[in-house]
Amino acid sequence: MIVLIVLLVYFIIGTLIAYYSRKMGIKDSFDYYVGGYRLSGFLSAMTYAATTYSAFMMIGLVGFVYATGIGAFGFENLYLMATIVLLTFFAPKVWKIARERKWISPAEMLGDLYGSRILSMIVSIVYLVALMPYATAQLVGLGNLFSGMGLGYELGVLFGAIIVFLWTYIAGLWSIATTDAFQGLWMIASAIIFLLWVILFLTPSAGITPSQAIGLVGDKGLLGITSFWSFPVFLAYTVPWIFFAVTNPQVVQRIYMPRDIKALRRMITYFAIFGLFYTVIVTIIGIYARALTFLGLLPDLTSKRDMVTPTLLSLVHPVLAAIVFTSIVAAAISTLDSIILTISSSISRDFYGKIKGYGRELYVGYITIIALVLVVTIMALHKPGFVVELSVLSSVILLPLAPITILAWSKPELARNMGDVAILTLLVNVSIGIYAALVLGPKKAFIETIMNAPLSLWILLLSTIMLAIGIYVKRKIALKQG
Amino acid sequence: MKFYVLTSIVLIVLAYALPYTILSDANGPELFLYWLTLTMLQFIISLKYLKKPIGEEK
Repeated sequence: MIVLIVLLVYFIIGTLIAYYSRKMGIKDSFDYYVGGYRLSGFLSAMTYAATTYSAFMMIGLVGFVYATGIGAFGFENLYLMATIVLLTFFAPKVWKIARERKWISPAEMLGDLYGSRILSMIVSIVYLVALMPYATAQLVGLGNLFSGMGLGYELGVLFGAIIVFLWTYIAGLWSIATTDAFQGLWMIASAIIFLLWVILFLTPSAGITPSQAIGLVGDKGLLGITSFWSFPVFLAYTVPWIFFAVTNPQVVQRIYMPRDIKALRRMITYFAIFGLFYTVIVTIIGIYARALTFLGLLPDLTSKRDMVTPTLLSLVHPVLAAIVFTSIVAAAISTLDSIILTISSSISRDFYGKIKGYGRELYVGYITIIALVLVVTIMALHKPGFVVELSVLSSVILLPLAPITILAWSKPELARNMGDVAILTLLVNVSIGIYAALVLGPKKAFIETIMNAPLSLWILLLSTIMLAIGIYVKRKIALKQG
Repeated sequence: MKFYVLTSIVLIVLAYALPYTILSDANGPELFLYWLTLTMLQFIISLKYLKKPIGEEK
């Protein structure tokens, strides 16, 4: 009952925020999809953070640290380090060019930089293939979360779908960014309270001090590199994620949005602080949870690691449990609505707009949002195994976009007129990822190694080499032809 | 710019390399503190780099 009340409070506050965000004025697709490039530093940072950090953190990473040890922190931390570098180095330049070219979707950006309309269409399809399973997985996660709390799987999926639709549809990016700020604050505040409760109440109740609990986990070898985290596995997890900031359109699009360079700098700074705090808190919760298992306060959940947080919550005061539960719902929804809006912008702009013109682009965008939410909801309700598993591979499927995007950002003059090379590189490497998923199954393909290197590293190397050779050959031919 | 890129690459390489070499036997809070320190360092040098105006990142 308390959970339902807190969820209702969350829903009402979020919907009111979304409704009032309409005051920012939506005149066209430029306002609807990228907020007219008018976001403050705080809003930009919160929407970047809430979009990036999904329910994986509080459910997946807590369980991952619990089951596999501190290597999981290393993996998440490397993502954060790399994202700080990529944003610091590229974002100011991309932000500046976006103002000159008025980009709305990242597919449009690549098409523009490579001088190829077909590239932007193909990139849109790649986004759709890679991100729909990832989006579905968010709703499936919500369903499982509700089911675990005794509220029913279908209710979780439908609750998520209704919120995502409302908060996306009402004012596009404005309703998403403002509700993301609300949800991001909820996520970080509840994580801090949850951690304090674990350290100050739960651990002492087992008759040991927090430092003794950490010592206990260390004695079992979990604060070192465990057998799970062999170097190839560490590479398999980190390689796709360290390029997340350049390959995932929902975060690339957020680079365009800050209203001035000061706001962009604030976005990067506040996001880094948010990410660091959130990662550390979630890691420490996972370590303490494992100590509680060693002390007999929690059952052994190493084979059911996604149950660590729900089991911990069953030991918490019901109000705190409801607040943390809602923060996980918020994390899933803030990721999902951003993905839906980004895919919608790609379809309405890079497909419909390029073929039929930009007159009815916003109207097409509304219909696309409805269709995408419906498709994701139906898929989540039916849970087709392959689609849900494919979400694991989404970052690998998007990986060929890393060298393609980085080249276009760092040397736009070199990328110009190289659209065919980029298309070939993208098609070959995305096909390899999908083929591996079909043959091996997505989960196995993710950690499969060839000559001790994971598939993701091979895809990254091959796409980089293909791009480099393609550009070299084309330039040679152009020089010969004078 | 060169200093920032080089330092960042070194920090990321260190994040991969040391846990599998020098720190491979660590079993206390060392690894956690090591990765945390690298991220803090990355954050600090990024803050300094970000203060430079666009186009003057030499």
